[in-house]
Amino acid sequence: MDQSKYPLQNEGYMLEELDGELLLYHLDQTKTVYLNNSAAVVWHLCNGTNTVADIIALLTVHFPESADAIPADVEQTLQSLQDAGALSLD
Amino acid sequence: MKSRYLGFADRRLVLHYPAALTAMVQFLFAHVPAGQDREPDHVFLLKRHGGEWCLSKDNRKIGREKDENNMANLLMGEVIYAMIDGVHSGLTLHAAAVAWKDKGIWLPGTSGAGKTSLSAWLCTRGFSYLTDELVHCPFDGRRFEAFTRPFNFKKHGLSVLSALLPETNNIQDSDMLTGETVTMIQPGAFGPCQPTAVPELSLLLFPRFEQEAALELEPMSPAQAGLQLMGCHVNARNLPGHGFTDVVKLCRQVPACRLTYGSFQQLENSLDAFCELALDSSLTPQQFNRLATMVSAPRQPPASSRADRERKQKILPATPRLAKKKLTIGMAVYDDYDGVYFSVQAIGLYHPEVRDDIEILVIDNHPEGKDAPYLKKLECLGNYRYVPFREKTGTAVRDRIFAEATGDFVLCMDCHVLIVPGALARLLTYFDTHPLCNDLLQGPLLNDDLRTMNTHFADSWRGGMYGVWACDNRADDKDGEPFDIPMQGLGLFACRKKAWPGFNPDFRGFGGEEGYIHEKFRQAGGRTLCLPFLRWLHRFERPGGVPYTIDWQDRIWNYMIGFQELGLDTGQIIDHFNEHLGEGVTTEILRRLGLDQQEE
Repeated sequence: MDQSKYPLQNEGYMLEELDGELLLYHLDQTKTVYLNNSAAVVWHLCNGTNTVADIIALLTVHFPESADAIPADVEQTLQSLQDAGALSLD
Repeated sequence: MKSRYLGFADRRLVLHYPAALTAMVQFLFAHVPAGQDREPDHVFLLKRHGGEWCLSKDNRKIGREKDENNMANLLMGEVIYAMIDGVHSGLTLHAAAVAWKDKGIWLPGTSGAGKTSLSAWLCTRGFSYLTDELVHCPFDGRRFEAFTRPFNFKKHGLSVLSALLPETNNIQDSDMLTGETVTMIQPGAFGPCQPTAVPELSLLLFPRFEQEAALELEPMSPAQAGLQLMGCHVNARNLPGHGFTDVVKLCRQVPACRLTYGSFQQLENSLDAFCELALDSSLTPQQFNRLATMVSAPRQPPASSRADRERKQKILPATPRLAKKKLTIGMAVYDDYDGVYFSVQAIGLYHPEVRDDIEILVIDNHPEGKDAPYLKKLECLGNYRYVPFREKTGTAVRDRIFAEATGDFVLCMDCHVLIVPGALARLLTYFDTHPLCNDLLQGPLLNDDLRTMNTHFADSWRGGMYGVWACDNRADDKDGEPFDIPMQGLGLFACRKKAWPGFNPDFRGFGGEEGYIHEKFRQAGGRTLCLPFLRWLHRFERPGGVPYTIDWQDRIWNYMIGFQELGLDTGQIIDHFNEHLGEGVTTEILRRLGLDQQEE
């Protein structure tokens, strides 16, 4: 994944937060997306001003004990969200 | 022509049909309310034409069948679709539902998930049938109504009938309708039916049947449940925001589990008991999750080869008794060859100075398992003895170690324990200087960091267990004097063989032994001591899961009968489990164990 890209949440999603996890629902696509706690953190950082590399760096600072796993986890989460149509990579 | 009005949620239908189909219409819709409070939204017409049954809806032809039973199936499908179409007064979902007193369980799932068979099974266990297809929950509430129709078994699922109802032949013809693709059976054939009930939704149970799967009941987070419910939400387009916010609201309030099962036998006295307890008791989310984990089966070992299966039936003989040694180091094992291998080899490698004074005794508690021949091969060590024992499983198998031991002194350890170098030699010296010792001897348990340790259990309750890890600084000096402790984990302990009092013969499974055996030693006049030099390490993590059953009922049973035997107050047991599992759950467990009367 090109880590210089800027992940951005796509519009049209309703969002509900439940105990740190997220459910997204798109009215037009009638699609529900589930994000566990880790993926929810990544989602919140997809505001169009953070690159993929920035997101990885931010999470590594806050969760140093998981530093080895964070890059792959972040890329996998972003890919899943992109596949689900919930975000774009610009 | 005759007419039947049908009502569900905010939908109203009318069906006009010839008198010849009265029995069929009664069979299909006997439990559906009339709904004549306003003009119907749709009008269905059934009539005979050209040797076929023809169905029309709002003056538009929608189907025809030659066979009356196949028409019944078509009609039911069209009526259900019409009930969903346009409903806007709440959430309508594709789900089975049953009731327990005034509480309702939804079993949501798409076609083929196993809703019908599981709801039928629950009815055979005394739950009241509501529906196997459709539920409707008005906004801002949890009381729901169900579309009560006959059980609808698809052709490929008919094999479950014989498992559900062994006397399938006893179902009256009037209670069964068999078509080309489905068989419908009146709910009364399985158990009680409460078509007019409006219970309160109290549990979401998402079923998944998978042939030969192990039983697993997995608590779901509200978000996970919400994702699944949105997939079963059939009137989303009729609602503002597609009802998304309302589904989420429901999931915040109602606990949810995912059920995977491979047969009805697995569910006996587990799922039905779980549902009863979960519905009868006011459980916190933590208590609910603990209750759910009680139901899941232990992880099964991988499927065995034919050779393994054949070996499974042949129990290997015990090693003949060896020459008497001063100390027997004994361990019981259940499918943990790796643990035994490293524990035993570590003794040989790091305690060579005691080799001539010890025998190593391994009690194989699963001698028909695949590990047996490899455990027996360790006889090559020379001072090692293999003994098969399957008459009893659980913690009390430790008694067998003492029965088989030849040494005057016994060190009993879990099969995945390591002992610091020099400690065994010092233990032998201790026994030399205390030959008539009646004490229970234990040592500090090293943590995985190999620096910090726990010298004993404090005598208090936590997490369903009597005893909380604690550390006494007197053990910092490994040459320090032994000191009294209330109790300690039984991963390693030692005593004179004749001083061993034994576990209560009625103990079951695992749990309840710490504290009990310590008090038993004290009541016999001995002490329970920590020897600072006797340091040990215990492997706690099991990435592959434990191969044996850990059962809350066994644990509570052992605590209760153990405390009663020793004249200790059992009220503390009940108080703790009331808090840990919930009062309703604990009361029910005590009732099932036959221990409730003793508390009155």
